Amino acid sequence: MDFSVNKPFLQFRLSEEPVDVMQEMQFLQNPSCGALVTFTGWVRMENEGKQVNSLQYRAYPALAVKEGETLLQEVWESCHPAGISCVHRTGHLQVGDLAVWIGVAAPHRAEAFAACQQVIDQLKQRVPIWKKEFYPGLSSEWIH
Amino acid sequence: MNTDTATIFLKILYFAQLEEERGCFEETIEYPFPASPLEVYQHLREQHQLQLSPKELRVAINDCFSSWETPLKSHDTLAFLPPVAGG
Repeated sequence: MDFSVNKPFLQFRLSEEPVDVMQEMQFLQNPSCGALVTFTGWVRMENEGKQVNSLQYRAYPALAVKEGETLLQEVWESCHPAGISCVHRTGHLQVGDLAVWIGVAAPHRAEAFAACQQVIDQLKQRVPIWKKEFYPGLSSEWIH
Repeated sequence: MNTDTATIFLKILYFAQLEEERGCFEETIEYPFPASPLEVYQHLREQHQLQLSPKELRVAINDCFSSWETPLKSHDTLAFLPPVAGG
């Protein structure tokens, strides 16, 4: 793809379908980049001492995508990688399913690691996506 | 609703816990003008026994984060956002 540190590829999206990681990585493949740092978030079987059977992710799509795109732009301005792609699942997910995937491509690894960390940290704080946990034998709960 | 008073129509969006407490994702309401998101939320909170306080929420008007004091216009879409938990 035709992108670079000066003209980055920035993509934030929501997906109701399972994420194809190989396809996500292909978006970021670029001969100017020597590093691809990725973060994968999986659904865990436990949270705060409670067994978790499954999760439901709910988003405010119009604002989540807008805020996600703003976040990627800010991270690019801070770290200057060549490309950032982030996809977050919505819907009902089972333990082990991929919930979020972030990939950052850059000429060198330092800016890719830094950018990847910033994206996941900020995403969790400000992008309007909500998570409901389902437990065996207990009422489900929205997590705050 | 008092018909002598100017009113506006607002589309309200509820998410996550609020959606469950209200029992719907969206509704259109008629509200006296002038109005702010804070006034509208306090009214809805009392009417529907919503648990979360304004301090725990963020508000968006027409798909943009906004302040609780922004004056509302008729046909605005007002969304109340519980603390987020993506990732």
